[in-house]
Amino acid sequence: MNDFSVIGQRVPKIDSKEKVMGKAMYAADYSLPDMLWAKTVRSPYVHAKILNIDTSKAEKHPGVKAVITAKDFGGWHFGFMPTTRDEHPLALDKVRYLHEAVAGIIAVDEETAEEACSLVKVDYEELPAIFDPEEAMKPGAPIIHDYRPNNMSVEYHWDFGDVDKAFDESYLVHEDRFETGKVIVGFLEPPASLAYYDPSGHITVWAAKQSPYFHYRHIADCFKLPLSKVRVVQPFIGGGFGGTKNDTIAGDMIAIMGSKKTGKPVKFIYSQEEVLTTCRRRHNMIVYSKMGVTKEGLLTGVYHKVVANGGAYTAISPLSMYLASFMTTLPYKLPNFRYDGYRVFTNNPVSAAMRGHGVTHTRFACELQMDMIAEKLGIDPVEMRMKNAIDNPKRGESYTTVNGVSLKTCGMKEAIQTVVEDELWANKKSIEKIEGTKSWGVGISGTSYLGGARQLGHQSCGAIVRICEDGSVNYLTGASDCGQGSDTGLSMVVAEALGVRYEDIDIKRVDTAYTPVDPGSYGSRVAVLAGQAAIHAAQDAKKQLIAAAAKAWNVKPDEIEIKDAVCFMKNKPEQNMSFNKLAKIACYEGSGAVIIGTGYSGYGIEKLDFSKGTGNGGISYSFTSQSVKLGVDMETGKIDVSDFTIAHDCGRPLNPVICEGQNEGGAVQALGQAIYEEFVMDQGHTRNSSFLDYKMPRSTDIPNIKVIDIITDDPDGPYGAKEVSEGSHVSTPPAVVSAIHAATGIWFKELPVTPEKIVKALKKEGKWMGGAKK
Amino acid sequence: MKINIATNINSPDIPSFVNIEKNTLREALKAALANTTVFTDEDFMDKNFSFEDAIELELNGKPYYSYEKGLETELNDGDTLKLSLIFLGGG
Repeated sequence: MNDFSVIGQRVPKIDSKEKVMGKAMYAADYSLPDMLWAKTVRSPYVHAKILNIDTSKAEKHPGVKAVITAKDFGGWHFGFMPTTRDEHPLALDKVRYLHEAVAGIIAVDEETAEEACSLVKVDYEELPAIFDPEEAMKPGAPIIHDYRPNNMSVEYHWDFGDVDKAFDESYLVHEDRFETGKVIVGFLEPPASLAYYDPSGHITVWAAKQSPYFHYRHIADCFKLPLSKVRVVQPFIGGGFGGTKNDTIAGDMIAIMGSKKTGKPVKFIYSQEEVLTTCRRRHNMIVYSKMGVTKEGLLTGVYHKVVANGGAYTAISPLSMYLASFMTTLPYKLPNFRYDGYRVFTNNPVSAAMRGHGVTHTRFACELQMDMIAEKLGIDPVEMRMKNAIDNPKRGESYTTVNGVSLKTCGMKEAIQTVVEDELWANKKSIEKIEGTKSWGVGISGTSYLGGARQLGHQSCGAIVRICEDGSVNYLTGASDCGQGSDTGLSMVVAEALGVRYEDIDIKRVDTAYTPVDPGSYGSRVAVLAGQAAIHAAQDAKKQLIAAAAKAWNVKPDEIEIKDAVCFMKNKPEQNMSFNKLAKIACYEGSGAVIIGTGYSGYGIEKLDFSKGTGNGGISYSFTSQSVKLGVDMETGKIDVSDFTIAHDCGRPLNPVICEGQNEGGAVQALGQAIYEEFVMDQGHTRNSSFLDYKMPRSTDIPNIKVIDIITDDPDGPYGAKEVSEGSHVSTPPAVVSAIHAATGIWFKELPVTPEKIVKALKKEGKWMGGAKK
Repeated sequence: MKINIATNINSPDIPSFVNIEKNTLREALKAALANTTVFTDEDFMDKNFSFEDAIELELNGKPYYSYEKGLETELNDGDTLKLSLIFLGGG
């Protein structure tokens, strides 16, 4: 039985008051005296050479203070890997997608900047364009990047075991084509920043970044400054979800260069239209999936050929394509696995990361295929999942997949069992029926997601715990809370490790001038990695305090404990003092002392080999099972999703309220991708570039959601924690589509499953109830 | 002299081996990266040239920093140079 004082408590988020009262400052809320505004000139073509840019008229426009073009950046380019730095802050030689940024206007106000954009005259030579990745792979397709004449942005070929032999020996081999949709994160806060290149040669940026330390490195590299002269201050962030806010974008660099040229602070705020037409979005992937099973339904092998629509630049896609398949060997035992992955350049906006990065596509395919196979074999889909699911390793042991993914806890079977025993699935037979034209169905899924992502190069993160002389505590972290609640979770971790109360912790958020490096929010790494750093820092501070108490009481340090803000003798707890008093003693006795605890994450890495598909990309892995109840109107195709039950193994919820909220949010976001959201692309043009037409779930679309914690107490997580909610994001689409099948008898293999697709399929199958009386 | 090149990610720009005349690590690295835009020839000639933020280097399984002569380390035919490309980014 764990005896935590803070961990596991249902406490409000540390920033909830500011946010609810409208006092939280986001990047767009920041201003400085004499501030100027930046706007972006964008290409009207999807693919064109830039022959000339004439900025003379724009420069003369009243109120315009500077015009920025690619030449200002001296050829600087950036990208995720040294060999894929194919992106410039502004298009240099050609534009490769519609509305790509070609110039920036710096002016006295937004309206003037916007007006002046139309005065920049760009001469283009239009080029043939290509939009479909499978067409772009073919010889003769228009070349988007000269350094990749076959348009192959990323290509992997992995082979584990003997898939062909496994298929030969299988009782049944099922082959299908699946496709995931063209979707975007949909944060309500668009990218924004305020930049100031001051006369002393320092750059300060207040930027909505979920990986501020990447941006800080980009700025230093681009402007040829030492890192010590670059400062990124992170305001509150209105949603990140991966992709755009992990990276540097045109607006960021226009603002900084504009500040350099004018000597004034410069601000930009993207419009939502800019976001929906130009910002990073999830890859849309075609998954050709082949799955073999024994007669009893045991998996023998899987082959995936994945073709991803990459858009115009590489961005983070080497990682996207790695993640798309390295976890195919979870959450079920899979002895043979082969993967051919192709990420293809097209003249579309750039595809990058998004919540559930990479895994959403192939897990969707595998889960549905398992259900299809179960149906063909006459096996209960629950039974099939249970017999294939990885067992929870015994304490001290681990399970390793055929491609080297290693895990110490796995709550998959317990999660499935929990969902099955819950009333939603348990009452399935009475639920699945037709009422009028509405047919009800219940679906199930089982998924996994990595936590504590670790890659080569920059995974170190640190923490500082400063004990103020009056016993209050400052916690300095470079870890980014982009709304997921990590500031709260980490503050709870510090409080627990130090032995004080949650309300005693004052968190100092990311400011690269003062906070230790942290790569940022992605790969569900913050709770695990920054959490470990926080514990180490708190323990370091605690050790110093206990040493002071030991000196004061003339005892040995190991006889003393601190808990619930009280310092006491372990064998004589009546001998005690308050934490505040101890802090004063520690700081003021003798010549005084400064009590600062430092810590860093020491998990290290196991090197990922993208070429072979080996390496352990996460510290631990969450496991989720989900059931979904929905009704399909067999006349209109409309779907009413009424209930989710999510059983989620996140190790141990540090703060159950946050974990529930994250699971609910992740599941609803994924519901959007399953049945609502899709960019309507027409020759590279986004035809639905507003939230009126790009339909995301609204509050009225949200089902009843029950979240059940599965506690596995992972030995590698802070207080047993693992990642939360990327798992439930991945679990939702297959569970929804499985429920649609239960309601209609039809398998849908392409997301989103829209009413139009449903009606078309119902008509084809002779099941359409059009014209039927209700 | 043939030097084998291994990487942590297949990159069409980085060959699986290079043939070099001058048998130094500097020449092998330059040849291995010749088709990329990571470094220019001028970068390699810069006395302050460093690659720590882009590439992790191993020669014959040992870290680059264990070789006292650094980039002037002499190579032998058949040596293996492992380039691990460092990622800056996450999502």
